[in-house]
Amino acid sequence: MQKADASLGSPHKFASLKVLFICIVISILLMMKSDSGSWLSSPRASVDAAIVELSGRMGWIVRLAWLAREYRALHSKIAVRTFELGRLEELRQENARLREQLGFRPRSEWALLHAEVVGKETNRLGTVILVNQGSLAGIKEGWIACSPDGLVGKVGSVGEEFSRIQLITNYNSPVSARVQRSGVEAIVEWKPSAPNTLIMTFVRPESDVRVGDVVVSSGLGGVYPAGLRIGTISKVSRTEREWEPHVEVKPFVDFSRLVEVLLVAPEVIKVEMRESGLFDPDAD
Amino acid sequence: MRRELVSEILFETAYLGFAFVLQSSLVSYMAIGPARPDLILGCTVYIALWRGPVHSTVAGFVAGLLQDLSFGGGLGLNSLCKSVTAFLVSHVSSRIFKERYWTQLVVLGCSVLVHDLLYFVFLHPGSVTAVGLSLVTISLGSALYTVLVFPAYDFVMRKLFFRREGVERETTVVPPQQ
Repeated sequence: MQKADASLGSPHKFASLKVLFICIVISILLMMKSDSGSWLSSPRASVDAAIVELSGRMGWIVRLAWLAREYRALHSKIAVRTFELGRLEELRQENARLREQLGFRPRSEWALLHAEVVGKETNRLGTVILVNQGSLAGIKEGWIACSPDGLVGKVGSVGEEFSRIQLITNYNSPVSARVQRSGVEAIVEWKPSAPNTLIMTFVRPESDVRVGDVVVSSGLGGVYPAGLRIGTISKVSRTEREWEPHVEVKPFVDFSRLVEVLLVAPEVIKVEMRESGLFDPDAD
Repeated sequence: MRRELVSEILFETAYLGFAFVLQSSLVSYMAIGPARPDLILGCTVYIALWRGPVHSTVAGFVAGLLQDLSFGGGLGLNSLCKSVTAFLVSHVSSRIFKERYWTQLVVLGCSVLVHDLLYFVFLHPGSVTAVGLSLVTISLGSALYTVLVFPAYDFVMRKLFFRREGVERETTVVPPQQ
Protein backbone atom coordinates (compact mmCIF):
# COMPACT_ATOMS: atom_id res chain seq x y z
CA MET A 1 0.00 0.00 0.00
CA GLN A 2 2.85 2.29 0.90
CA LYS A 3 4.37 1.82 -2.50
CA ALA A 4 1.09 2.55 -4.20
CA ASP A 5 0.65 5.68 -2.16
CA ALA A 6 4.16 6.71 -3.05
CA SER A 7 3.20 6.46 -6.70
CA LEU A 8 0.59 9.11 -6.02
CA GLY A 9 3.06 11.48 -4.56
CA SER A 10 3.06 14.84 -6.28
CA PRO A 11 5.91 14.29 -8.83
CA HIS A 12 4.41 11.00 -9.99
CA LYS A 13 0.90 12.29 -9.85
CA PHE A 14 1.90 15.09 -12.17
CA ALA A 15 3.83 12.67 -14.36
CA SER A 16 0.76 10.50 -14.76
CA LEU A 17 -1.43 13.55 -15.37
CA LYS A 18 1.00 14.71 -18.03
CA VAL A 19 0.87 11.32 -19.73
CA LEU A 20 -2.94 11.32 -19.54
CA PHE A 21 -3.05 14.82 -20.96
CA ILE A 22 -0.78 13.79 -23.86
CA CYS A 23 -2.93 10.70 -24.55
CA ILE A 24 -6.12 12.77 -24.52
CA VAL A 25 -4.64 15.40 -26.84
CA ILE A 26 -3.39 12.75 -29.28
CA SER A 27 -6.77 10.98 -29.17
CA ILE A 28 -8.69 14.19 -29.84
CA LEU A 29 -6.32 15.10 -32.68
CA LEU A 30 -6.84 11.62 -34.14
CA MET A 31 -10.60 11.99 -33.79
CA MET A 32 -10.46 15.26 -35.70
CA LYS A 33 -8.04 13.94 -38.29
CA SER A 34 -9.61 10.55 -38.91
CA ASP A 35 -12.69 12.03 -40.59
CA SER A 36 -10.65 13.34 -43.49
CA GLY A 37 -8.01 11.72 -45.64
CA SER A 38 -7.18 8.20 -46.61
CA TRP A 39 -3.93 8.06 -44.62
CA LEU A 40 -5.64 5.60 -42.28
CA SER A 41 -6.26 2.93 -44.86
CA SER A 42 -2.72 1.53 -44.82
CA PRO A 43 -2.31 1.06 -41.03
CA ARG A 44 -5.91 -0.22 -40.80
CA ALA A 45 -5.26 -2.76 -43.53
CA SER A 46 -2.14 -3.98 -41.71
CA VAL A 47 -3.95 -4.38 -38.39
CA ASP A 48 -6.91 -6.04 -40.14
CA ALA A 49 -4.58 -8.47 -41.94
CA ALA A 50 -2.88 -9.38 -38.67
CA ILE A 51 -6.20 -9.91 -36.91
CA VAL A 52 -7.65 -11.95 -39.78
CA GLU A 53 -4.52 -14.11 -39.77
CA LEU A 54 -4.58 -14.62 -36.00
CA SER A 55 -8.36 -15.05 -35.87
CA GLY A 56 -8.10 -17.64 -38.62
CA ARG A 57 -5.67 -19.57 -36.46
CA MET A 58 -8.05 -19.29 -33.52
CA GLY A 59 -10.95 -20.44 -35.69
CA TRP A 60 -10.67 -23.93 -34.25
CA ILE A 61 -12.22 -22.70 -31.00
CA VAL A 62 -15.32 -21.56 -32.87
CA ARG A 63 -15.31 -24.78 -34.89
CA LEU A 64 -15.00 -26.75 -31.66
CA ALA A 65 -18.15 -25.17 -30.28
CA TRP A 66 -19.89 -25.82 -33.59
CA LEU A 67 -18.68 -29.41 -33.63
CA ALA A 68 -19.98 -30.03 -30.11
CA ARG A 69 -23.44 -28.83 -31.14
CA GLU A 70 -23.24 -30.82 -34.38
CA TYR A 71 -22.12 -33.92 -32.46
CA ARG A 72 -25.15 -33.81 -30.17
CA ALA A 73 -27.51 -33.39 -33.14
CA LEU A 74 -25.86 -36.18 -35.11
CA HIS A 75 -25.72 -38.50 -32.14
CA SER A 76 -29.51 -38.57 -31.82
CA LYS A 77 -29.85 -38.80 -35.62
CA ILE A 78 -27.54 -41.82 -35.72
CA ALA A 79 -29.63 -43.61 -33.10
CA VAL A 80 -32.73 -43.22 -35.27
CA ARG A 81 -30.86 -44.16 -38.44
CA THR A 82 -29.34 -47.26 -36.83
CA PHE A 83 -32.81 -48.44 -35.92
CA GLU A 84 -34.03 -47.74 -39.47
CA LEU A 85 -30.99 -49.49 -40.92
CA GLY A 86 -31.90 -52.66 -39.06
CA ARG A 87 -35.37 -52.57 -40.56
CA LEU A 88 -34.01 -51.80 -44.03
CA GLU A 89 -31.57 -54.68 -43.82
CA GLU A 90 -34.50 -56.95 -43.11
CA LEU A 91 -36.34 -55.51 -46.13
CA ARG A 92 -33.23 -55.82 -48.32
CA GLN A 93 -32.94 -59.49 -47.54
CA GLU A 94 -36.64 -59.98 -48.18
CA ASN A 95 -36.31 -58.09 -51.47
CA ALA A 96 -33.33 -60.24 -52.51
CA ARG A 97 -35.31 -63.41 -51.74
CA LEU A 98 -38.33 -62.22 -53.73
CA ARG A 99 -36.16 -61.12 -56.69
CA GLU A 100 -34.54 -64.52 -56.67
CA GLN A 101 -37.96 -66.22 -56.64
CA LEU A 102 -39.14 -64.02 -59.56
CA GLY A 103 -35.95 -64.73 -61.49
CA PHE A 104 -34.62 -61.12 -61.41
CA ARG A 105 -30.87 -60.63 -61.41
CA PRO A 106 -29.48 -59.07 -58.23
CA ARG A 107 -28.99 -55.29 -58.19
CA SER A 108 -25.46 -54.01 -58.59
CA GLU A 109 -23.80 -52.31 -55.60
CA TRP A 110 -23.00 -48.62 -55.99
CA ALA A 111 -19.46 -47.52 -55.29
CA LEU A 112 -19.76 -44.08 -53.73
CA LEU A 113 -16.92 -41.59 -53.86
CA HIS A 114 -16.73 -38.97 -51.14
CA ALA A 115 -15.86 -35.38 -52.06
CA GLU A 116 -15.73 -32.14 -50.11
CA VAL A 117 -17.26 -28.91 -51.32
CA VAL A 118 -14.45 -26.42 -51.76
CA GLY A 119 -16.19 -23.62 -53.60
CA LYS A 120 -19.53 -22.20 -54.50
CA GLU A 121 -20.55 -20.09 -57.42
CA THR A 122 -20.57 -16.51 -56.27
CA ASN A 123 -23.37 -15.12 -58.39
CA ARG A 124 -26.87 -14.59 -57.04
CA LEU A 125 -28.26 -18.02 -57.90
CA GLY A 126 -25.20 -20.04 -56.86
CA THR A 127 -26.29 -23.27 -58.52
CA VAL A 128 -22.84 -24.69 -59.29
CA ILE A 129 -20.47 -26.03 -56.65
CA LEU A 130 -16.85 -27.10 -56.83
CA VAL A 131 -15.69 -30.34 -55.17
CA ASN A 132 -12.18 -31.58 -54.46
CA GLN A 133 -12.30 -34.77 -56.56
CA GLY A 134 -11.70 -34.90 -60.29
CA SER A 135 -10.59 -37.09 -63.16
CA LEU A 136 -7.64 -38.40 -61.11
CA ALA A 137 -10.19 -40.04 -58.81
CA GLY A 138 -12.01 -41.46 -61.82
CA ILE A 139 -14.85 -38.98 -61.95
CA LYS A 140 -16.36 -38.25 -65.34
CA GLU A 141 -18.89 -35.81 -66.66
CA GLY A 142 -22.42 -36.90 -65.87
CA TRP A 143 -21.71 -38.60 -62.54
CA ILE A 144 -24.42 -38.18 -59.94
CA ALA A 145 -23.89 -36.22 -56.75
CA CYS A 146 -25.96 -36.85 -53.67
CA SER A 147 -25.72 -36.15 -49.95
CA PRO A 148 -27.05 -38.09 -46.98
CA ASP A 149 -30.16 -35.88 -47.21
CA GLY A 150 -30.88 -36.53 -50.86
CA LEU A 151 -30.09 -35.71 -54.47
CA VAL A 152 -27.67 -32.86 -55.05
CA GLY A 153 -27.06 -32.75 -58.81
CA LYS A 154 -24.77 -34.04 -61.52
CA VAL A 155 -21.16 -33.45 -62.50
CA GLY A 156 -21.10 -30.78 -65.19
CA SER A 157 -17.39 -30.57 -65.94
CA VAL A 158 -14.29 -32.28 -64.60
CA GLY A 159 -10.76 -31.09 -63.96
CA GLU A 160 -7.88 -33.22 -62.69
CA GLU A 161 -8.50 -32.53 -59.04
CA PHE A 162 -11.76 -30.61 -59.08
CA SER A 163 -15.23 -31.15 -60.48
CA ARG A 164 -18.07 -28.72 -61.01
CA ILE A 165 -21.47 -29.99 -59.95
CA GLN A 166 -24.67 -28.58 -61.35
CA LEU A 167 -27.18 -28.59 -58.52
CA ILE A 168 -30.75 -29.69 -59.14
CA THR A 169 -31.64 -26.05 -58.46
CA ASN A 170 -29.79 -25.19 -61.66
CA TYR A 171 -32.17 -24.22 -64.46
CA ASN A 172 -30.39 -26.74 -66.67
CA SER A 173 -30.92 -29.78 -64.43
CA PRO A 174 -34.49 -31.13 -64.60
CA VAL A 175 -35.04 -34.39 -62.72
CA SER A 176 -37.51 -37.15 -63.51
CA ALA A 177 -39.41 -37.58 -60.30
CA ARG A 178 -42.06 -39.67 -58.62
CA VAL A 179 -44.29 -38.97 -55.65
CA GLN A 180 -43.37 -41.73 -53.22
CA ARG A 181 -46.87 -42.17 -51.72
CA SER A 182 -49.01 -42.15 -54.88
CA GLY A 183 -46.47 -43.01 -57.57
CA VAL A 184 -47.34 -39.94 -59.68
CA GLU A 185 -44.60 -39.31 -62.25
CA ALA A 186 -43.47 -35.77 -63.11
CA ILE A 187 -40.48 -33.55 -63.80
CA VAL A 188 -38.94 -31.48 -61.01
CA GLU A 189 -37.04 -28.40 -62.11
CA TRP A 190 -36.04 -24.92 -61.05
CA LYS A 191 -38.09 -22.02 -62.36
CA PRO A 192 -37.39 -18.32 -61.83
CA SER A 193 -40.98 -17.87 -60.58
CA ALA A 194 -40.09 -19.69 -57.34
CA PRO A 195 -36.38 -19.12 -56.73
CA ASN A 196 -36.12 -20.93 -53.40
CA THR A 197 -38.01 -24.08 -54.35
CA LEU A 198 -38.36 -26.54 -57.22
CA ILE A 199 -41.44 -26.78 -59.41
CA MET A 200 -43.09 -30.05 -60.34
CA THR A 201 -44.21 -29.95 -63.95
CA PHE A 202 -46.19 -32.32 -66.19
CA VAL A 203 -48.52 -33.17 -63.31
CA ARG A 204 -51.93 -34.23 -64.54
CA PRO A 205 -54.94 -32.43 -62.94
CA GLU A 206 -56.36 -35.60 -61.47
CA SER A 207 -53.03 -36.65 -60.00
CA ASP A 208 -52.92 -37.49 -56.32
CA VAL A 209 -50.39 -35.02 -54.94
CA ARG A 210 -50.61 -33.54 -51.46
CA VAL A 211 -48.57 -31.16 -49.33
CA GLY A 212 -46.05 -33.17 -47.34
CA ASP A 213 -45.63 -35.94 -49.92
CA VAL A 214 -42.05 -37.07 -50.41
CA VAL A 215 -40.71 -36.76 -53.95
CA VAL A 216 -37.96 -39.12 -55.14
CA SER A 217 -36.19 -39.53 -58.45
CA SER A 218 -38.03 -41.91 -60.76
CA GLY A 219 -34.99 -43.11 -62.69
CA LEU A 220 -36.67 -42.35 -66.03
CA GLY A 221 -34.54 -40.28 -68.37
CA GLY A 222 -31.41 -42.17 -67.52
CA VAL A 223 -29.62 -39.32 -65.80
CA TYR A 224 -30.47 -39.90 -62.14
CA PRO A 225 -31.02 -43.28 -60.46
CA ALA A 226 -34.43 -44.15 -59.08
CA GLY A 227 -35.29 -43.67 -55.42
CA LEU A 228 -33.08 -40.73 -54.51
CA ARG A 229 -34.89 -38.34 -52.21
CA ILE A 230 -35.45 -34.91 -53.73
CA GLY A 231 -37.77 -33.06 -51.38
CA THR A 232 -41.26 -32.68 -49.99
CA ILE A 233 -44.25 -31.06 -51.67
CA SER A 234 -44.64 -27.70 -49.94
CA LYS A 235 -47.48 -26.19 -51.96
CA VAL A 236 -50.22 -27.43 -54.28
CA SER A 237 -52.52 -24.89 -55.92
CA ARG A 238 -55.09 -25.53 -58.61
CA THR A 239 -56.58 -22.66 -60.60
CA GLU A 240 -59.25 -22.75 -63.25
CA ARG A 241 -57.06 -20.89 -65.72
CA GLU A 242 -54.27 -23.47 -65.54
CA TRP A 243 -54.77 -27.02 -66.69
CA GLU A 244 -51.81 -28.23 -64.70
CA PRO A 245 -51.72 -27.80 -60.90
CA HIS A 246 -48.91 -25.66 -59.52
CA VAL A 247 -46.81 -27.92 -57.29
CA GLU A 248 -43.80 -26.65 -55.36
CA VAL A 249 -41.16 -28.98 -53.91
CA LYS A 250 -38.89 -27.98 -51.05
CA PRO A 251 -35.55 -29.81 -51.48
CA PHE A 252 -34.28 -31.95 -48.60
CA VAL A 253 -30.76 -30.74 -49.17
CA ASP A 254 -29.85 -27.34 -47.79
CA PHE A 255 -27.65 -26.26 -50.67
CA SER A 256 -26.33 -23.22 -48.79
CA ARG A 257 -24.79 -25.46 -46.10
CA LEU A 258 -23.54 -28.26 -48.30
CA VAL A 259 -20.06 -29.33 -47.16
CA GLU A 260 -19.69 -32.81 -48.68
CA VAL A 261 -21.21 -34.89 -51.47
CA LEU A 262 -21.18 -38.53 -52.53
CA LEU A 263 -20.50 -39.20 -56.20
CA VAL A 264 -21.69 -42.25 -58.12
CA ALA A 265 -21.07 -43.34 -61.71
CA PRO A 266 -24.13 -43.26 -63.97
CA GLU A 267 -22.91 -46.40 -65.80
CA VAL A 268 -23.77 -48.40 -62.72
CA ILE A 269 -27.24 -46.92 -62.76
CA LYS A 270 -27.73 -47.57 -66.49
CA VAL A 271 -26.69 -51.21 -66.12
CA GLU A 272 -29.08 -51.56 -63.22
CA MET A 273 -31.94 -49.98 -65.14
CA ARG A 274 -31.31 -52.10 -68.20
CA GLU A 275 -31.29 -55.22 -66.05
CA SER A 276 -34.51 -54.26 -64.34
CA GLY A 277 -36.18 -53.98 -67.78
CA LEU A 278 -37.91 -50.77 -66.82
CA PHE A 279 -36.12 -48.46 -69.18
CA ASP A 280 -33.30 -48.56 -71.70
CA PRO A 281 -31.32 -45.36 -71.30
CA ASP A 282 -29.29 -46.02 -74.44
CA ALA A 283 -32.35 -46.52 -76.63
CA ASP A 284 -32.43 -42.91 -77.81
CA MET B 1 15.06 -5.65 -12.76
CA ARG B 2 15.17 -4.68 -16.45
CA ARG B 3 14.76 -8.31 -17.49
CA GLU B 4 11.72 -8.57 -15.28
CA LEU B 5 10.28 -5.44 -16.81
CA VAL B 6 10.78 -6.76 -20.36
CA SER B 7 9.17 -10.03 -19.33
CA GLU B 8 6.20 -8.15 -17.85
CA ILE B 9 5.75 -6.06 -20.98
CA LEU B 10 5.94 -9.19 -23.15
CA PHE B 11 3.29 -10.82 -20.99
CA GLU B 12 1.04 -7.79 -21.23
CA THR B 13 1.48 -7.72 -25.01
CA ALA B 14 0.41 -11.35 -25.22
CA TYR B 15 -2.37 -10.69 -22.67
CA LEU B 16 -3.79 -7.89 -24.81
CA GLY B 17 -2.98 -9.65 -28.11
CA PHE B 18 -4.94 -12.78 -27.27
CA ALA B 19 -7.78 -10.61 -26.03
CA PHE B 20 -7.79 -8.88 -29.42
CA VAL B 21 -7.89 -12.15 -31.29
CA LEU B 22 -10.66 -13.58 -29.11
CA GLN B 23 -12.62 -10.34 -29.26
CA SER B 24 -12.57 -10.38 -33.06
CA SER B 25 -13.34 -14.08 -33.43
CA LEU B 26 -14.96 -15.92 -30.54
CA VAL B 27 -16.69 -13.09 -28.71
CA SER B 28 -18.99 -12.33 -31.64
CA TYR B 29 -20.48 -15.80 -31.16
CA MET B 30 -20.98 -15.15 -27.44
CA ALA B 31 -23.15 -12.05 -27.80
CA ILE B 32 -26.46 -12.16 -25.94
CA GLY B 33 -28.48 -9.47 -27.66
CA PRO B 34 -26.42 -6.26 -27.55
CA ALA B 35 -24.36 -7.46 -24.59
CA ARG B 36 -20.94 -8.94 -25.18
CA PRO B 37 -17.89 -9.25 -22.96
CA ASP B 38 -15.15 -6.68 -23.53
CA LEU B 39 -11.91 -8.60 -23.07
CA ILE B 40 -9.72 -5.73 -24.25
CA LEU B 41 -11.14 -3.38 -21.65
CA GLY B 42 -10.86 -6.17 -19.08
CA CYS B 43 -7.16 -6.48 -19.83
CA THR B 44 -6.68 -2.73 -19.56
CA VAL B 45 -8.46 -2.65 -16.20
CA TYR B 46 -6.55 -5.62 -14.79
CA ILE B 47 -3.26 -4.10 -15.92
CA ALA B 48 -4.28 -0.79 -14.34
CA LEU B 49 -5.17 -2.51 -11.06
CA TRP B 50 -1.61 -3.65 -10.49
CA ARG B 51 0.41 -1.07 -12.36
CA GLY B 52 1.23 2.55 -11.89
CA PRO B 53 -0.88 5.24 -13.54
CA VAL B 54 1.69 6.10 -16.24
CA HIS B 55 2.05 2.52 -17.42
CA SER B 56 -1.71 1.94 -17.24
CA THR B 57 -2.59 5.09 -19.14
CA VAL B 58 -0.14 4.23 -21.92
CA ALA B 59 -1.36 0.62 -22.04
CA GLY B 60 -4.96 1.83 -22.26
CA PHE B 61 -4.05 4.29 -24.98
CA VAL B 62 -2.23 1.68 -27.08
CA ALA B 63 -5.00 -0.91 -26.63
CA GLY B 64 -7.65 1.64 -27.58
CA LEU B 65 -5.67 2.85 -30.57
CA LEU B 66 -5.29 -0.70 -31.89
CA GLN B 67 -8.99 -1.25 -31.35
CA ASP B 68 -9.76 1.95 -33.25
CA LEU B 69 -7.51 0.82 -36.07
CA SER B 70 -8.88 -2.68 -36.30
CA PHE B 71 -12.60 -2.31 -35.89
CA GLY B 72 -13.05 0.74 -38.09
CA GLY B 73 -15.04 3.79 -37.07
CA GLY B 74 -13.50 7.00 -35.82
CA LEU B 75 -9.92 6.97 -34.70
CA GLY B 76 -9.06 8.15 -31.21
CA LEU B 77 -12.35 7.42 -29.46
CA ASN B 78 -11.38 4.10 -27.93
CA SER B 79 -7.86 5.29 -27.15
CA LEU B 80 -9.24 8.30 -25.27
CA CYS B 81 -11.83 6.28 -23.33
CA LYS B 82 -9.43 3.49 -22.44
CA SER B 83 -6.57 5.74 -21.39
CA VAL B 84 -8.90 7.77 -19.11
CA THR B 85 -10.46 4.59 -17.68
CA ALA B 86 -7.04 3.03 -17.07
CA PHE B 87 -5.83 6.22 -15.40
CA LEU B 88 -8.88 6.32 -13.10
CA VAL B 89 -8.64 2.62 -12.23
CA SER B 90 -4.96 2.94 -11.48
CA HIS B 91 -5.61 5.83 -9.07
CA VAL B 92 -8.63 4.22 -7.46
CA SER B 93 -6.77 0.93 -6.99
CA SER B 94 -4.36 2.54 -4.53
CA ARG B 95 -7.27 3.45 -2.25
CA ILE B 96 -9.06 0.12 -2.16
CA PHE B 97 -8.31 -3.40 -1.00
CA LYS B 98 -7.80 -4.72 -4.49
CA GLU B 99 -6.42 -8.10 -3.41
CA ARG B 100 -9.95 -9.17 -2.65
CA TYR B 101 -11.50 -11.00 -5.58
CA TRP B 102 -14.90 -9.31 -5.30
CA THR B 103 -13.33 -5.87 -5.24
CA GLN B 104 -11.61 -6.61 -8.54
CA LEU B 105 -14.92 -7.67 -10.07
CA VAL B 106 -16.70 -4.54 -8.82
CA VAL B 107 -13.89 -2.36 -10.21
CA LEU B 108 -14.10 -4.21 -13.52
CA GLY B 109 -17.87 -3.78 -13.77
CA CYS B 110 -17.71 -0.09 -12.84
CA SER B 111 -14.86 0.45 -15.30
CA VAL B 112 -16.97 -0.90 -18.15
CA LEU B 113 -19.72 1.55 -17.21
CA VAL B 114 -17.30 4.49 -16.91
CA HIS B 115 -15.65 3.57 -20.21
CA ASP B 116 -19.00 3.26 -21.95
CA LEU B 117 -20.25 6.51 -20.45
CA LEU B 118 -17.24 8.31 -21.97
CA TYR B 119 -17.65 6.39 -25.21
CA PHE B 120 -21.34 7.22 -25.64
CA VAL B 121 -20.86 10.85 -24.60
CA PHE B 122 -18.40 11.26 -27.46
CA LEU B 123 -20.48 9.10 -29.81
CA HIS B 124 -23.76 10.95 -29.19
CA PRO B 125 -22.56 14.44 -28.21
CA GLY B 126 -25.30 16.50 -26.58
CA SER B 127 -27.92 13.78 -26.50
CA VAL B 128 -28.46 12.77 -22.89
CA THR B 129 -31.31 10.41 -23.82
CA ALA B 130 -29.19 8.51 -26.33
CA VAL B 131 -26.33 8.20 -23.85
CA GLY B 132 -28.69 7.03 -21.09
CA LEU B 133 -30.46 4.54 -23.31
CA SER B 134 -27.17 3.14 -24.63
CA LEU B 135 -25.87 2.76 -21.10
CA VAL B 136 -28.99 0.92 -19.97
CA THR B 137 -29.47 -1.30 -23.01
CA ILE B 138 -25.86 -2.05 -23.91
CA SER B 139 -23.48 -1.21 -21.09
CA LEU B 140 -25.22 -2.80 -18.11
CA GLY B 141 -25.39 -6.19 -19.82
CA SER B 142 -21.87 -5.87 -21.19
CA ALA B 143 -20.53 -4.94 -17.75
CA LEU B 144 -22.17 -7.98 -16.18
CA TYR B 145 -21.03 -10.23 -19.02
CA THR B 146 -17.46 -8.93 -18.81
CA VAL B 147 -17.41 -9.50 -15.04
CA LEU B 148 -18.56 -13.09 -15.61
CA VAL B 149 -16.24 -13.94 -18.49
CA PHE B 150 -13.06 -11.91 -18.06
CA PRO B 151 -11.78 -13.51 -14.80
CA ALA B 152 -11.69 -16.85 -16.65
CA TYR B 153 -9.58 -15.32 -19.42
CA ASP B 154 -7.29 -13.70 -16.86
CA PHE B 155 -6.94 -17.00 -14.97
CA VAL B 156 -6.07 -18.97 -18.11
CA MET B 157 -3.56 -16.41 -19.33
CA ARG B 158 -1.82 -16.20 -15.96
CA LYS B 159 -1.63 -19.99 -15.77
CA LEU B 160 -0.29 -20.19 -19.32
CA PHE B 161 2.41 -17.60 -18.69
CA PHE B 162 3.14 -18.66 -15.08
CA ARG B 163 2.12 -15.28 -13.71
CA ARG B 164 1.07 -14.68 -10.16
CA GLU B 165 -2.08 -12.68 -9.61
CA GLY B 166 -2.04 -9.52 -7.60
CA VAL B 167 1.62 -8.67 -7.74
CA GLU B 168 1.92 -4.96 -7.66
CA ARG B 169 4.63 -3.37 -9.76
CA GLU B 170 5.36 0.23 -10.44
CA THR B 171 7.07 0.56 -13.76
CA THR B 172 7.48 4.30 -13.65
CA VAL B 173 11.02 5.07 -12.63
CA VAL B 174 11.11 5.14 -8.83
CA PRO B 175 14.44 5.86 -7.19
CA PRO B 176 15.45 3.15 -4.72
CA GLN B 177 14.62 3.97 -1.10
CA GLN B 178 17.68 4.68 1.01
